[in-house]
Amino acid sequence: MAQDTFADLYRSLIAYYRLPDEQAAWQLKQILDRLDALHARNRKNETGTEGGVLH
Amino acid sequence: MRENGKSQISQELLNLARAGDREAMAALYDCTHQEVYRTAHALLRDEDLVLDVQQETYLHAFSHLEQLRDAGSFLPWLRKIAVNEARSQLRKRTPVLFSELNPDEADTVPEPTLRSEDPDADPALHLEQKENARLVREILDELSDGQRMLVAMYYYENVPIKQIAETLQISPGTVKSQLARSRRKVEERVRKLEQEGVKLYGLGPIPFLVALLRNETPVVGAGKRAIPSVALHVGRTFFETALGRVVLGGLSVLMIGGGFVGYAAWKDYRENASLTVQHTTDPSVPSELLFTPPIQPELVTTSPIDTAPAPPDTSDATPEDLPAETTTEPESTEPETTEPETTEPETTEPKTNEPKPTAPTSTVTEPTTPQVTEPEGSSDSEENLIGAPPAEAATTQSSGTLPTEPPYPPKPGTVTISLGETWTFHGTGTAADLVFLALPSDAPAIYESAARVGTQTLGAANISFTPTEPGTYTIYYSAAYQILFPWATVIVTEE
Repeated sequence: MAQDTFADLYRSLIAYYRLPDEQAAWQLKQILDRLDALHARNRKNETGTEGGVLH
Repeated sequence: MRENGKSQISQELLNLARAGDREAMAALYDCTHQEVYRTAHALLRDEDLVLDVQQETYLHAFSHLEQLRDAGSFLPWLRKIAVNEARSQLRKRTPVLFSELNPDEADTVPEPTLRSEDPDADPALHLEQKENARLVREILDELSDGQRMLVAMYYYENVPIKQIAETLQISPGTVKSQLARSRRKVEERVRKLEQEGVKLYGLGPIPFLVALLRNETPVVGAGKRAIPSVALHVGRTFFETALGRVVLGGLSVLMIGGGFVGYAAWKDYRENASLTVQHTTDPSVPSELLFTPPIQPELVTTSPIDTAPAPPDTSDATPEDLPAETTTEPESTEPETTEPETTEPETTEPKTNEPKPTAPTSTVTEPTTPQVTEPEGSSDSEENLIGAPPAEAATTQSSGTLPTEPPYPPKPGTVTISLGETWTFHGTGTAADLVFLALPSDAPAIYESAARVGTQTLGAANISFTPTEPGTYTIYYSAAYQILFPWATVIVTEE
């Protein structure tokens, strides 16, 4: 099996996988939601340290 | 959604995303998510892990876009993040083999799909895709996680060995040796598939796999050229789809010992799935693989037939009249491997069941036939299980009841028709499915036509055979897609 052939085969195997569009959209939503949550948490932390009402 | 759109990623888009623009982020995701998904799949087996890695990859990327200056590097950067995330996941979790996945669970996760636009449009195609998924999993399962990562990086992502070594913190020599080992593993697995592929499709491994993965029918067209003008038409249940996608697939017949017996198997007979054929020279075929008795055979000829089913020497079709290829060689009409003792079509007509030209609508009750239970004897008994042969008149009908042992359908013997005429017969049975194939008796190693009759519980259909070229044809039958047996010989004369 030539190396190119192997590479082609392997790439063909991998290319077989495809995330369905619906799942991809769901993934994007999850990512953006998590990103929002992450930013919100960061802002909260920043506020806590900067704004600084220490109890 | 767009895929592989790294060239579409502009600096402006990157800047917008860096500024927190959600639409820009979505656009970046649309351009790259399939690549990231495949990269993760190249490294991981578990679908849930793949999706986790994908999420983590984008989460990390979108949170650190300020680290990326060149928009053109976005996809490579994403891949690198994905690889690192995958490694992290592997460290945290015990990998799950594809083959260990619960099939039910596998159906619930987002199943990888082929690039077919509508995989559900064709049930057979859908089944093939499922089978393809299994094959891919089997192949990739041959690699360990570390090997998968190496192979993925080197062969899929084209990452230089030196860079792989740096990423994985191993020596370049180790990378090379592991790559070689991985290749051997895959190669071995592919060769195994080749053996299976030979049985199933008669194809080599790589064309086989590539054809499957590209959602193509293997070796389409090979059969058409081999036997261009033979056709079986079977009422509403005619297996046209199977013809197109299956039999054309070059179902090679192994010509061994001067004869052959065909094994036929439908990948999924409930749907219009592919027909697969295996072949053997073993004449001792268990009868239980054939029809499930009882069978109510019935043959109806609905079109004029030149002569009663008789030996060629008594028919209108003399060897001189026939084209060169329409010889009535014994081997060509009755493969020796299935009926070793009967080497001549003429003599294969059982004396006790010798088809007599019957008056229209006459019924011939199947005579008692020698009961032979041995495999070798079953061939003899098949000879004797002659049902009602086609007769002269167009309306001639004959029927008979077969003995329950062995469960062979009636044999019409040799039928001679003129070119352009149609030989029609009607078959019923309790077999799960009946398959009829027609191919020239001097056949090349390709099956051109296939027909499926009936349903899972009852087979019944009108079958018409309209050859478009003169010659001698053998009609094979099979039940439950197991074994092909020569059933009838049709001599087609020029007239």
